[in-house]
Amino acid sequence: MSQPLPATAQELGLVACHGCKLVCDAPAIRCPRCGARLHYRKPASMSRTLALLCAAVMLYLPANLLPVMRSSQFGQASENTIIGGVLAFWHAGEFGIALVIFLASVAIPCAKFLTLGWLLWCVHRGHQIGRRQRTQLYRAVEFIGYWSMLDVLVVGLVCALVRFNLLGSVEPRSGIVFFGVVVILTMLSASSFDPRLIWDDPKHD
Amino acid sequence: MRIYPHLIICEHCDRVYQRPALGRQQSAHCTACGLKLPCSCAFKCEQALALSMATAIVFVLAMANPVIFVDVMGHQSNATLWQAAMVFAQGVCAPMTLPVMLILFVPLIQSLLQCWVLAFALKGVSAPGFAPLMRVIGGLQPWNLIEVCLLSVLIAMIKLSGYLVVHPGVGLWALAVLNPLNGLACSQNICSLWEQLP
Repeated sequence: MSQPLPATAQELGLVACHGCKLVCDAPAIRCPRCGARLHYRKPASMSRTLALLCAAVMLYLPANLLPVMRSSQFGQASENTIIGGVLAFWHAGEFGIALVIFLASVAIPCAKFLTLGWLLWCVHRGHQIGRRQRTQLYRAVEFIGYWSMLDVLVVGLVCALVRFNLLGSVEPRSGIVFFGVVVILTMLSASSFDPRLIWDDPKHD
Repeated sequence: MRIYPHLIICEHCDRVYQRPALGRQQSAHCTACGLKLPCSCAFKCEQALALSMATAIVFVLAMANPVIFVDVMGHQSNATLWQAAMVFAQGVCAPMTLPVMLILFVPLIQSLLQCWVLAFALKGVSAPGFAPLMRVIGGLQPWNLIEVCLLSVLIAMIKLSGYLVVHPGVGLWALAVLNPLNGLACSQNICSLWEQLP
């Protein structure tokens, strides 16, 4: 990090097309090669990210409190929440699977909420230290985001398999809808955050 | 308006670089934030086309065949990924059906679009609708969840194996093959077509 960093595109009055990566003069409105709209930063990045993040945090409560699956066997019905499923594996001695489901359904969404919230806070305050690390953190959030869809597909598969059995039936419940929406909202939130804001000095905001 | 094809801008920190000349298997990274720069490097059109076609074919196999079989007191039951998505269609979970369907089919849409674009690129012309289709291919990348599908099938098997007898189906093997294929097809530098085609 001792060598001086190259100039930023905004300082030079240049802008890169987000579709085809062509570098153009900033006054252009559309990319001459692919026709995509050009902008220095993603439009309304901070407020969009924050709005989607808040919606996701609010829906995360019903996703965890409501049951995700209802299984009935010989007339006895029981409903499972996400945490209930993790605990069932844990008590059955399947620690590995319990850990994978816990990571995908609890740890990753919570880590995403905290990380995105912290990144937004740092940009808002104009922090200048640890920019490289924060950019890497953002890439990590983008990378791990979609693993949370795991639980939705597992519930779908289990219900499809056991649905028409003589032994009983399993059906999905509303908790899984909330959970799926939370995952999609956090993915949208991460993709609407513009990591270039991390590198902007406060006066440019 | 001026364009600067010899320059390249880091997408995560906005630094400007001279576009380096890269061979195959080479990549350039931003000195400020470490992101891989979106450079065009030499790539083989035929290879990318073959991988995309293989992905599309194996995807159809993975979707059309059951991924898991279960035995319950002599009664057999099986499920495909398609049926797993259709489970949500009835009752309170109906709003979840469409997003799950769309996410399941992203790899197919992506590989078919790549086939279309690359088939024309092979002849050295840009396909009809080249620019919007290339943007769709890039935009779909974060929603390509094939790895998650594979892991969720495995977890569903383990979950059920406590109560029932579980066997893997043809769909699961196809899914296992699809994973590396899809990864390879997506990692082909098809964005260099922007520079190569007229």
